[in-house]
Amino acid sequence: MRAGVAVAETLLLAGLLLLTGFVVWDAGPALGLPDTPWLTWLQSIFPGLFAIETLAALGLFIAVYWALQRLGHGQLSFWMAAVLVVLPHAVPVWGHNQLEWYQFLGLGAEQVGERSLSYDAALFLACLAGLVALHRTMALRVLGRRMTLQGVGEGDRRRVLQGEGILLGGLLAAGLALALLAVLGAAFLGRYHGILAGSTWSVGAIGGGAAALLALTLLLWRRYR
Amino acid sequence: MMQPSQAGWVVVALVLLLPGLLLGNVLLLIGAVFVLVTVFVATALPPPSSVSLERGVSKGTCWVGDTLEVRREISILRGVGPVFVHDELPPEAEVVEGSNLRVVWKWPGRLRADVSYTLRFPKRGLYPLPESGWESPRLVDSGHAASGIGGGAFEVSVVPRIRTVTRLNEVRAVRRSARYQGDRAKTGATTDEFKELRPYQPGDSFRRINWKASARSVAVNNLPLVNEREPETRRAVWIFLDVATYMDVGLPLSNPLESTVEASGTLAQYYLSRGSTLGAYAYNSADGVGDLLAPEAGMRQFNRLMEMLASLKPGLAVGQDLLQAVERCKSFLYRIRPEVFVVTRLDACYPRPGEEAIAFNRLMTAVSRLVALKSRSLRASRVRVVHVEPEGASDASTGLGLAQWEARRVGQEIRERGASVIEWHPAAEEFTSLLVRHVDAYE
Repeated sequence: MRAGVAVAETLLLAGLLLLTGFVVWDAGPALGLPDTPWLTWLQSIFPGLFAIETLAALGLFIAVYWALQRLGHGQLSFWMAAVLVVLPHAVPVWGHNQLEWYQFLGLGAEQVGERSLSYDAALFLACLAGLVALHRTMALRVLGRRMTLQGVGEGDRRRVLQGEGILLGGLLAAGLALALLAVLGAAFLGRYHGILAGSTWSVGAIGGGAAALLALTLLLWRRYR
Repeated sequence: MMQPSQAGWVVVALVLLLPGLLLGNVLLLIGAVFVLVTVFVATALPPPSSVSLERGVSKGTCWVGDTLEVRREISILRGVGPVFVHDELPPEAEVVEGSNLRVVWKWPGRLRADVSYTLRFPKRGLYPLPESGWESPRLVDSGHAASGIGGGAFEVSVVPRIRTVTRLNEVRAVRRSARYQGDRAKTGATTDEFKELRPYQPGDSFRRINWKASARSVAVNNLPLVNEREPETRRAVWIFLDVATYMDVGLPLSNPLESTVEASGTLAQYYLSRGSTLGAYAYNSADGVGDLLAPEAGMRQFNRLMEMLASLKPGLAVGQDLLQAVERCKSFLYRIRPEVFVVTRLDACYPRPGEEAIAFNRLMTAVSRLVALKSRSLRASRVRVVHVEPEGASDASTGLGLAQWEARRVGQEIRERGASVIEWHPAAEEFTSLLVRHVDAYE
């Protein structure tokens, strides 16, 4: 069971790294990278099979991740992976800035180009969901190890890991459902109020909702402390 | 207290939220919403609470090696997540079925779960079982955990397994009865065993009047009834138990120490049921002082001996030995003149080349003193040294082992001093069989 969790963790990390590779490729023109056709890129990753450089980079990062885990720096290795996975999203995300006040300061004048909000949101949310899942899988592995060391029976261990898995699935589903609602809301407001008006409304609505959630979370912490 | 991982996710949410608001970036804000929803839901899920534990054991006292079911039932009213239930067990306890550490998963709604397990105690003793503990660890990065105790603490008394000498007691009932009458003292002290009610006679102590029985019955000549107790017999038995660490070798269920305890219990049961007075002394115990059971007759004495045997802990054979034990008990020994049983390992006293024979000499002196006592009920002295052989010391395929040879050498010396030696191989023969054979031989 523990080995299964570790394999799931590795696969999740590999998936996230591949997604990062895709995002880098997708944002290639904006970054000044050569414009490789999608099919060529895919072929360099899948059957053919992987380009040796891709494999080496993937393997090296996964090895570093596990080495840090083994050395007891689990959180460090996770946040390192998180930064690496999230950073490439900066380019497509930057293209969706609607209050470009920084241009008055002569900053960030580069244009990424017109990009689909829902497409970028799907990629970004997939990355965040993957990170949340990876973090919890890491915690599940630690819990599984603790249970094994304490001598908890196989049946009990399986039940706990299944319960945690179902709960994690529910958690991700809830987060994604609300985020999807926010995307739809933003698209709706943008369509009916023009770009600028839409930005004000959507930013106000979604930002306000997020701030309210943050306040509620902090209140809950205070209550349970 | 906020957990580091939670704080990390809140920082991520803030890193997305603040630039999202400043730049009017809906994508960042959506990301912040997603992260905050997961953190909020994880925080809002209450950990399992309102936990109650019920616990009980199938019996409070059991024999060595018996299984004991610890029934546990956990009831959880609120919360979601795993709950660890654990019982701290003494190191001697063996879990033979189930587990003392169980984890149950709680979904919304009331949960009742049976988390019983079965124990076995391979050694005698009084074992405390403290209250069960439960703990619900942090769930999906939520910041709260809960724990508590319940189920009530209790003690389990594990008593040595004593076999009844049925063959002796049943087959030789007539002879035993005759001998019992012969052994009975006409005057002197009485035991605390109740015999019968009889009318008061001048000279009886007022404390012996049974007022309730006197009030209920029609008294003869208006005399109250007094409790008549069994008189002490002339036959007395004394057991010296060696509980040194060299006795505590081998497997818990079959080491010489446990065999010594079993032999002592069997002897006590046999002689006390015949009305004999019994005393005992355990030397080389862990406290460095020794445990004394003052001589008494009656089956209550058996219970006292069981209590003493249950609490015996082996100690180093330094500053204590049989000779010292005889010195400590000599006032009793001179008064009751008992038949003496010494249960020990003789090979432990064998003087090895290059070593001083202090232990050997002291053992011989002790045996000589015991032999010189002269039992009151018999003309000849009756000192029997039971040598308990450790399991594996003798092996038919390898011939006579060194330990066995040493024991025989020491035994030979003891026999020369007038005592008899009984060699007991617990792995090959039960003590009851040995006792039957030797009683046949002596009587």
